[in-house]
Amino acid sequence: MAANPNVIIWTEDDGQVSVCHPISTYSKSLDELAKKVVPSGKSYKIIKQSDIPTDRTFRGAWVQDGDTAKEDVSKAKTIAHTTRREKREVEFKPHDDIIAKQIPGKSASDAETARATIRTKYATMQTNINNASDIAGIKTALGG
Amino acid sequence: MSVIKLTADSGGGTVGLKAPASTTSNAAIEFKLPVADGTSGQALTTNASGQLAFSDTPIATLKAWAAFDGDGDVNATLTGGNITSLTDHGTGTYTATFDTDFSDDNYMMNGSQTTYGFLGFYDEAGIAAGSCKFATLTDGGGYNDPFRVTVGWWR
Repeated sequence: MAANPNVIIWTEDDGQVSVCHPISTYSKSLDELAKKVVPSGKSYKIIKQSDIPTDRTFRGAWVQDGDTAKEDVSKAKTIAHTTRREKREVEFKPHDDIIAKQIPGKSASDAETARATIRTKYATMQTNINNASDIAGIKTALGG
Repeated sequence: MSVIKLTADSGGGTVGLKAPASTTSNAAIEFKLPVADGTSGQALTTNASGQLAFSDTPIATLKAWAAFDGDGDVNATLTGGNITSLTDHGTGTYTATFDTDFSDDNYMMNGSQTTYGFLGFYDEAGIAAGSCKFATLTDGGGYNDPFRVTVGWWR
């Protein structure tokens, strides 16, 4: 049985957009389903599945905008900066270990030079994320 | 259509065993009864040769399940049993809504996902007779959207 082309969306108290996907065998109306799934007191919209973003990279940045759900650029930048910090930490780690543990045979000076290169790389990324004007630009800044 | 009717000891009521309208390939089916009674809660099962026996019933059975792609089109990939829908609340956070509710929220949930991580209840408030909120997480504890998620509920 084909998937239902429509979904139910509403905004949670924390600003996140919830998207309810009916299973293809569900035979009642989506208004009937909404009575069961939408939290009491929340208003909801039944919209086309095609009107929600397909890319989940910035799922936490989805906001309800009338009859669509879209990515909010400001929220996406916040998520992108978290991702940037996580990536930087991963790259810093082996050099941090050399400096902190003073591993024999490893140069702390070389490690510090490598750290400086990483710092520069991620400082540039930070600027590019801040300067991005749309979701595609943020993804590009992240290297995605 | 043949019926064996047993008359109640009093009142004149009857209990009947009725043959189906026809058997598969018009075969002559015989069921042989067990030689002794079973224990409380056991059910009659067959050995596929007509011999019936009393057997233990499962302590829990699968009452609902769902399977979907977490990293892409949930709508197109969602399949399951005894669920009306799956709500996507954000990265790695979902609610399955049951078609026929459990009698209460004392059920077991188990599932798998296709990344190095795990699947579990989202929070206590999300465990309800009519729905269950659950999360998919990485080994590090962060929410993730795995390629494939399968989850079932037993009672």
